[in-house]
Amino acid sequence: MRYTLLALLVLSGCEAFPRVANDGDVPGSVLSGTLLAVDVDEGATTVVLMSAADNPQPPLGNGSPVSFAAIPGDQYGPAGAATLGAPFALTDVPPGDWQLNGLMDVDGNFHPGLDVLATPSCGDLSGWHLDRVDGGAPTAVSLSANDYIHDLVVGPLTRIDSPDPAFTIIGPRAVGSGLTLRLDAVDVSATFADLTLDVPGPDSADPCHAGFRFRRRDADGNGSADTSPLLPLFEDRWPRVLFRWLGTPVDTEDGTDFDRGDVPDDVTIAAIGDPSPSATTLPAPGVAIDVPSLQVAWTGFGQRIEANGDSAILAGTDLPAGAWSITVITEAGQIWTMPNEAGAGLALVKRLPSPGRTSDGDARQGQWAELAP
Amino acid sequence: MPSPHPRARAALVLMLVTLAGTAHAEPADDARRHFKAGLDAAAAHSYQAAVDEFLAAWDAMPHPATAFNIARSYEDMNDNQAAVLWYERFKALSPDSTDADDPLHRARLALAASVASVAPPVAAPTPDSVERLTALDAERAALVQRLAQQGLITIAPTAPEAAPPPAEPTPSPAAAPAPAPAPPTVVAEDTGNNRESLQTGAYDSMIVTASRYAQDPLDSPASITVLTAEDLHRSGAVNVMDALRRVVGVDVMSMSAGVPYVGIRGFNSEMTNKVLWLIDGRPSALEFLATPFPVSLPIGMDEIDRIEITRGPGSALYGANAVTGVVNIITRRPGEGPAFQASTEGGLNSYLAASLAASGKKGRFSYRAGAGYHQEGRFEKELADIPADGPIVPFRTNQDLGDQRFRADLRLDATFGKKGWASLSGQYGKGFTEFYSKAALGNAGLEGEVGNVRTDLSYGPLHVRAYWQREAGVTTPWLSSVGSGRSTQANVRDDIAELEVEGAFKVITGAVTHHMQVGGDYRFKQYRAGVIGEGFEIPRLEHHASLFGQYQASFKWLQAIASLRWDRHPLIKSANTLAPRGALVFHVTKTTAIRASVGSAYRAMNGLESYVNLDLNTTADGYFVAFQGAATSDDPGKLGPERITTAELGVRDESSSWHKLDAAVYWNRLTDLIDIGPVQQKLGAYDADAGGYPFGVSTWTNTPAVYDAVGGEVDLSVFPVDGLDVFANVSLERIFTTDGDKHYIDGSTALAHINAGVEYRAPFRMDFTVTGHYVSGQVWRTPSFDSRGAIAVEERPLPGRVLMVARVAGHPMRDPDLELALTLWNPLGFSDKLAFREHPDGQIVGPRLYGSVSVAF
Repeated sequence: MRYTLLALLVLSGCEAFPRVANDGDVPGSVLSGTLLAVDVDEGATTVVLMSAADNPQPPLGNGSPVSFAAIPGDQYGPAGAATLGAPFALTDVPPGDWQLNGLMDVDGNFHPGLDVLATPSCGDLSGWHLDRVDGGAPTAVSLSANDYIHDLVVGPLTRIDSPDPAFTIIGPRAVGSGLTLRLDAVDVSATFADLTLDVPGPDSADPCHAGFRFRRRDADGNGSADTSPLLPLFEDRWPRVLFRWLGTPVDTEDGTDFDRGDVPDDVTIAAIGDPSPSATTLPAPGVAIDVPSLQVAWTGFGQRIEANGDSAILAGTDLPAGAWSITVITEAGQIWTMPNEAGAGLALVKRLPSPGRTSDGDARQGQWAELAP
Repeated sequence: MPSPHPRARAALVLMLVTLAGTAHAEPADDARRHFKAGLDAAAAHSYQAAVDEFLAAWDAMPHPATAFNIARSYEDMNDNQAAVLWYERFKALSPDSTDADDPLHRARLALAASVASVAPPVAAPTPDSVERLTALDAERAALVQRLAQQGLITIAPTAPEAAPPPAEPTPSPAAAPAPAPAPPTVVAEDTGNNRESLQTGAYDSMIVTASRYAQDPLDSPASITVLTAEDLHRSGAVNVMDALRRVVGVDVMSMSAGVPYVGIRGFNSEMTNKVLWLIDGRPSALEFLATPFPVSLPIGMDEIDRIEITRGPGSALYGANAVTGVVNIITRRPGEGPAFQASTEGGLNSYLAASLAASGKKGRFSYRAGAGYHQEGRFEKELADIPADGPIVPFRTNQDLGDQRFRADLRLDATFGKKGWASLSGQYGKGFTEFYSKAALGNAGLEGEVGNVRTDLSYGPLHVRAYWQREAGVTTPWLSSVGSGRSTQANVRDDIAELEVEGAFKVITGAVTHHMQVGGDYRFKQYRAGVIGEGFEIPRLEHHASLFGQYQASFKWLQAIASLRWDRHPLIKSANTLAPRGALVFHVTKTTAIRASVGSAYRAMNGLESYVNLDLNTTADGYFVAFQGAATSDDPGKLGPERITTAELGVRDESSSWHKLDAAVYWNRLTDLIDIGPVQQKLGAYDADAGGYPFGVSTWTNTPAVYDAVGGEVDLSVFPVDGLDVFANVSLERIFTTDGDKHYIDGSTALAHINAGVEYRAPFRMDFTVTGHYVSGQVWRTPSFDSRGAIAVEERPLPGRVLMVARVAGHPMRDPDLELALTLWNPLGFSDKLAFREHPDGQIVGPRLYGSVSVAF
């Protein structure tokens, strides 16, 4: 007689499995949370930029972001009175301390791959991960291996109303002891679509007109300008002006090349400039004014930064002769550099090949400062 | 089957009891050893010893030939009662065979004669008994006369009766009846000189994969290993891929619990794309990836008769993708095996499996049906918990379960005449599984179903097969973050239809036997893939065709084999699909053969590589590289197949009844490996669908590196005594890579694989299995796109590791056959310190501890 015997033998599951990845070899950490934007009716594409806490991006420092995430504008939803919120996540984050900056690209001209577009612009919204949502200071997030942090807040993202510091060099480009450069602001309109710089005429109705928002910093409000954290002999002023050494100009068939000699391309030699408004008296400490032109003095102090992060102070004749790029950084983090990767458009532009070349081989456009031997 | 004689019935019962008391043992090796010993004993006229050996073989694994030989040996011992019993048993097992017709008849007659020669018991005669005895005598006499007339017996003259002594006067009235006349002596016809020979060939293993027809493994032109149903049952593996770990030259790499990847003779990669998988001779893989996933093998382990694994190129017979080997899963024929099987397993980490199988035969028709369920927890998960409504979106809410699938299959066979058979079968699998992918947050998930219908028609040397398969599903990152990874979510729906015709012919000219196998097929493929929510892109249609042939000439101890296949592939130039193979097999003795072969094979681009455009992550979430399928790239004809050329020398020895040895040395050269090509920078505006900024474009490319693999394998199995099987094998391989002016060792292939195991089937109905699998350290070179979109190659070492399996099973009942078992797979997985990965990006391989109950009758 046939019969069926069927029994189930099930061992109770063990809470230890599955494992949670924790061996540290796989940097699977995640930084995630919410972006908060204020005073905006609808969301726009937002990038969350991550930079090292010890070398943050402008305006906190002079570093560059090491990673970023892009959040579509349609991810925003109401998150309180006059506030929109959207989720974000940065994945595959290595252990360390990281600054997080959120940038809502309202005018749609941000692109991480081009230096003239990898910057916030007037009208965008920008904000940081703060130690306190209500008026705190930017603070870094510490991450161990395989952490999942899901309650970060980046913001509030607030509107940038300072003018974009696009400029051109007027007059002599020589820098050095006792010499100054004159930088005149130019209205530019650059988008990714054509990679060209358009120069609107003087009747442009753009509320974000070109210019430099100049301020002598007075953080403690004592009526005296603060000294520069880098150069105690100088005031702490915005915008920051940095020079970066390009090399010795060499004429070639394709234009001008830069010979760096035995200095590797991944070594940065930077010098600090001291800005002043052109033809305008200095404002009182703490007061911000928009000016159309800057005079930048060569401070004669700089730094050599190796690829591994080691650095050494350079001064005076330690700073090499040759061509130097000029970067202006505003208090809101807007950046403009000459020469840059933009296409032809500016009347005073001269096409420049490598190392003024972009990564796809196109020549950088623009001008540079020259330090005599 | 006629009711046996009471004494035979008693013997049968005794036999069953005896069988029930022995170990549950069906190993062919033990049976083969006893069978051969029985043949030897019979040849030496030691019939009792022959019976003992054949009975031992029967006990190990019943076989019709064994039943026949037992009967035949009993007959030689003049034990016709037992002979009749066993001939009848043979006929029950082989109803279509006429081998036992004459001997059964003969034995019955002999039995009848021996019964007739026994004088009936003398009892006090009564009028009724006298009448009954008289009638019986008359019947017996009539029977004897009839048999004599048929020439089956001769009647010896009976001795004249002695004159009775003078009787004393006895009282009347009733006179004592005359004593019954002595019955005639019946002598059965002595047909000893014309008796059938013992049957041979039982338990001989035959293979089909190496040449596409059944042959002795000693005749195989390729290295081949066979895993029997018992090997699979005792392996402790929960899927077919893991069961291959014990095979020499095979590397099994579990990057997640659900999908282990199989490589043969090196060239490990994150996908099983250089090994061709077959089910009963037809390709079985997810066509989209040309890689088998368990869901694409919708057949239960208990429905498998054996798995044949050939090592070396197989494109000469099977076409694309049989680059380093072929795995052919051969299912049980309908009507074979138990009529009903059920099993269930459950254990640690959400493991649960259940399986049902039924098989039967009635007349010319037979069937086999099966269904099963399988689920398993993940080895590892990325995050302890994922808050709902957060920026991390999981593929599945239950992050603990990594694999869940259901399968069903049905096969109907019919025979017609002695040469023909037809078959109709279908398989269906549905489920989801986690598999390795280079997504930003780890692996990917596949949810889908695979269904196929197949029909075969065979008559004599001709075989026609028609087949259709559909696979449909969704593939997506296991974890997605808002704004990234969306573009890698895709729908897939592919259809494959095939018609194959094949013929096998044998011609003998003098001393040379010519064996020819020719065939061709047409295959239609339709690939459809699209981004979720946006429907399918325009379907990609492919028309394939092939012609293949093998010629083998056998002369005494030498065989020469030549094979060639040509495929028409719409994306590959014809010259690149020619796959030749040549081999010589020297039979040093009847049980030892040396083989030498050369050949080439190729791997064609799969659906993903050909047609699918993906947005691949870089280390920065906001950047992606637009990766184009080769056929949809800017230079569609540029990508070619991977190619391998190989030479091998091997030896196979089965010169004793207690061992098998196979050894081989080989050289493989692999070129045109398909890999990720360099990125052409092509910045693009923000792409909301892709959730990022395009950095550049890339496509698949044939890398210029040349890989030379040199290796050797030794595989030994010994089965010295009943119930004990021991195996050990070693494979060593080094791959020397030349890439321009760079020379280095490809460290992704381990230098050494060592497998060893012991299986003991104890007489007290317990089985014990312990196996160990060692893989030496590796150094993987893994490419990825950095934040600038450049390809960065990182060298990542992986230490050597050992994976062990232990299994114990008990059989408290024999009929039905009930088994209770406990399996421990990879116990080192319990320890955080000793647990290991099998790939730098793979999950830590977890342990499996589970119990199982199975019943068969």
